Amino acid sequence: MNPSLANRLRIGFAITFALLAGVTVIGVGRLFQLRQDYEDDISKSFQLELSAEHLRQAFLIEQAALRGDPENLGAIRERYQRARAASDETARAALGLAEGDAEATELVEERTAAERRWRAAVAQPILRGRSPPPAANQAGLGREVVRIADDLISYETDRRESLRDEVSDDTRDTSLLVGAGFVAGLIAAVLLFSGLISSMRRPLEGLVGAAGSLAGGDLQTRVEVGGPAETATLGMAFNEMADELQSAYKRVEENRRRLAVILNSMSDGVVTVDARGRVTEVNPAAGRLLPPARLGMLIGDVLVERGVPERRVQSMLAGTEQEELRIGDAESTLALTASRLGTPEGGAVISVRDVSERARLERMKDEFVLTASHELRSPLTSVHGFAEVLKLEREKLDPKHAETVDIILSNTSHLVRLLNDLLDLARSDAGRLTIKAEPCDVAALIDDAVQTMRRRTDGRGQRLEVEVEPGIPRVRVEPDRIKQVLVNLLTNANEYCPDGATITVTANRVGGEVELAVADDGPGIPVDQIDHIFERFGRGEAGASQRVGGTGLGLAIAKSLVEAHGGAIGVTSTPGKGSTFRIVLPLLAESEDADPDTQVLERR
Amino acid sequence: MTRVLVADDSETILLLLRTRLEMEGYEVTTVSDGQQVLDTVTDTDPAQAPDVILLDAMMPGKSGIDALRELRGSGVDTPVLIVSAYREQEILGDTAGLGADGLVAKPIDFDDLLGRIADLTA
Repeated sequence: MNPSLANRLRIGFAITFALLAGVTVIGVGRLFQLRQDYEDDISKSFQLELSAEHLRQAFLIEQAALRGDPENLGAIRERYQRARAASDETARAALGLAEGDAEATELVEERTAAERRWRAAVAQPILRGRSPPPAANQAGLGREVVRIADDLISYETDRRESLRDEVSDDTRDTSLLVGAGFVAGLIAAVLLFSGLISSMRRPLEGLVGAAGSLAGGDLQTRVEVGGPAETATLGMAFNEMADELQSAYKRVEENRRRLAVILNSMSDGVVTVDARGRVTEVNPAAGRLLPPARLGMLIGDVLVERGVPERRVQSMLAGTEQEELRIGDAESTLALTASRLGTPEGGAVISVRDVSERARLERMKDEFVLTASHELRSPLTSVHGFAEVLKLEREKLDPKHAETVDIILSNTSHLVRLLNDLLDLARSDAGRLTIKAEPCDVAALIDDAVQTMRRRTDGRGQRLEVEVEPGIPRVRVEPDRIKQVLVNLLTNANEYCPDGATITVTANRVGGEVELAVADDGPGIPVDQIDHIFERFGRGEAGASQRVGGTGLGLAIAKSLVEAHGGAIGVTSTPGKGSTFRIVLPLLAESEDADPDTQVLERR
Repeated sequence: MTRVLVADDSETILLLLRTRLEMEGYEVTTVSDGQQVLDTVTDTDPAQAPDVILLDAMMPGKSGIDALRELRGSGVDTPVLIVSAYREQEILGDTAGLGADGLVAKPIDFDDLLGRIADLTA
């Protein structure tokens, strides 16, 4: 693993700082040193100049010491000796100061040599009392000494000049060097940081590009892991994410293919539509079964063209239609069922099944039941009729035979009821149940049914009560059929409830409908049977069927009849407390366009 | 004595109807198709003509419905009850339109049948 970006930055800063600090320290030190040396040199030069001045004066004093009364040679000598010692002393000091400077040393020594020459040529003869050399000679030698001292002075003046120039040059050079060092340091820092940045830039640019192409759908995209620890980690995380994405996409894609194969190989048609009913998917079977359904069409148009009412299409798409929708004719029948997709966008999936064969078989079955129950009627008429003949002449029979006749009669009566019920159902199934509806008074309907039942309820000591809401509107029904339903419900109550039970018939207006209810305080319906109570032979167990005399078809017929009226039937029951059957019928005003498909109550 | 003409293609039903009606004191003539009904009504001496006719709706040859149509077409107004295994209203509607005086469903409820005959011949 490469060092992390943070560490690289730290190292970079440290190096830059060290470089710049080094340059600064060296530069400042060098400038200080230059200044120091310059000041030393200048100070020495001034001292040397001063020294040269002293030498001049010392020499003048030495010359002056020789003047005076030649008679008093002793005083001259004494004076001269002092002046000479002072001059030598000064010369020695000058030599000391000139140390290190070859030219100055040479000048000092040259002067000393010239002085020595003067002393030998001028001072010695005078001091020894001899005649001095000619004055011109004297003056030439003396001037030589003074000239050299002057030379030293002007040399030092010049030297200071050149020192000043030198130090100024050196300072400039050093400053330039320090500046160059700084610039070099900064360049190094810039190079360092740009190196750092570019070490990150490549992986980052790689990531940006890869993220772009990943978003664009290229799931193969991976990045080269590199650069600082951070980008390397990011790169690895990115690659892991891409792996995950790729495998998830692969799973989704496999699933999609699997589903597509399933859908395409199905013999049932499947059509999905969006919230507006536009076809979004259609499998080959649906295209075959439901032409011209294809992508983008409105399913409503396709179905309405096939004679489906617009309203049913809407309720199907809304997912409220739970019934199978049948379309077609005797030749070909399709069954449509719809389920909501449950996605936020809405929409539904519609399955289309070719039920022509089933419909044909159902029609055959219906016809068979109709024919069979008709065919059974004539022989049954004979059996029942002759049994009645025998019963009419029972006084001629011995008691055992008379009892046999009673059994035949009661069983043929049951058979007759069964046949009638079967016929009603078969007729309803075959679509031959026609309702001749007319405006009817609810109270009169109930009264009629109650009068029919009164004798039987009285016979068991049961109370039969009627509560009709005053001013209840009329309903559009076929009175005999609704009476048949009420009698059936009352018969059930009468037979299933114990002696002394209370049976109540009520009629109330509920919204736009009239609700008729038959309630009892009998044993109720066992929970496991209540869901099947409206099915054929869906009544209670054998124990119950032995006790009661119904055919097991009454409630199925009641349901068919009520639904044929555009109404609904349902039941609520509490075992041990009783049962309430409710019939809902449309009011007169709304019954004109009553829809026999509305089924609500029975599904509660 | 009240005369009843009964038409049915089933010998058993004819025997049953004859037995019950005779037990009730009617004079019963039985035939087995619609043509025989027409023949009986036209050939019989008006004094011996049936007072009420029971017609099975479905019979081979001429059906009860056809016979009724022809009877009414030729001006015979003898009361007629149609006996049918079909309880359906379309038949009742048809028969009423054809001039039948009632429909009796099979299996026959004799209390009902006898009551109606009594009403029609009162």
